[in-house]
Amino acid sequence: MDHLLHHWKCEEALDKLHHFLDQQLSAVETEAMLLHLEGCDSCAHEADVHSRIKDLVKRACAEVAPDHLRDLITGQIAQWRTEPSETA
Amino acid sequence: MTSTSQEGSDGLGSFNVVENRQDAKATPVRPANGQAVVFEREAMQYLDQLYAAAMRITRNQADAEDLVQETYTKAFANFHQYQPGTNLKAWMHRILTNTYINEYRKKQRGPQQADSDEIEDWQIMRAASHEPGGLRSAEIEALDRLTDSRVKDALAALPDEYRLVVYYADVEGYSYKEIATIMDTPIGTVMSRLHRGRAQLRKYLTSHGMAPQGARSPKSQE
Repeated sequence: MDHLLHHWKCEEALDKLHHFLDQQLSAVETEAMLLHLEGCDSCAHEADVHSRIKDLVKRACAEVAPDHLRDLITGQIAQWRTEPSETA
Repeated sequence: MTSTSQEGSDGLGSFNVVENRQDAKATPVRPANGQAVVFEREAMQYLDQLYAAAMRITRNQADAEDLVQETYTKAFANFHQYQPGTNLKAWMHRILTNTYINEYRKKQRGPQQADSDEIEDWQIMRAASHEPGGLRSAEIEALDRLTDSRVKDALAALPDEYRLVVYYADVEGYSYKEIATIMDTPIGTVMSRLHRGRAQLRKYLTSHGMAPQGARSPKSQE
């Protein structure tokens, strides 16, 4: 399969870095990216930084909806359930 | 920038909603009552994820709660348009996003910024790379020290379009194609906003710079 693999330069790797981190690359492209990162400290650092930021964002954004909001919406749905339908 | 025309003002984009918009807003035309049972079972499980998106999008709890409530009302009113077996959570995130863009954003303060497309994305990335090794490790250490609230402040300081794309990619793990549908934009725009949003976020979060102060509204949590 190495004959299919063309060796990426930094431009190509950096351009596709977010695709790589977001798992939007094909298997062949992922292979090419990993190969480039293995031999390029600079791009490997970029991947490391953005991968950490992705994790930080995910961790920071977790929320639990307040109970009063849940009750409000559940109550609204209960009301829809008991009201006669206008279309059916 | 996403369209703010009347076309998407019901928050449903191209979901082919046929019913009268005025009715849909005030008193939704209701599907059969059994639909409410199905809707509750299917849709309530995503409340935390919709609230989390609303918190990041509106940047304050009061607007987030209103936005989520309105999203559920619109989703129920149009539940007969939803195709079973497709991604209900993404469908609701789309309603939420469109509702925010068309109805809430006008009322909100906060940084707004048009896309600027003169610079190639790889040039942005490249400008940030090629640091000496010492600066690289300092950057990683800076990231390791970050608190959740600092990360939320930095996100809040991003322009809406960048923040939404980063949020949906990082937190929900939606594909670029799904994000394009949710935000009603071409996939190329999604990728461009993601590159720019992350480059800016990185600047805010590392020693390269600080997020602008006062970017969050007074009603922000913590």
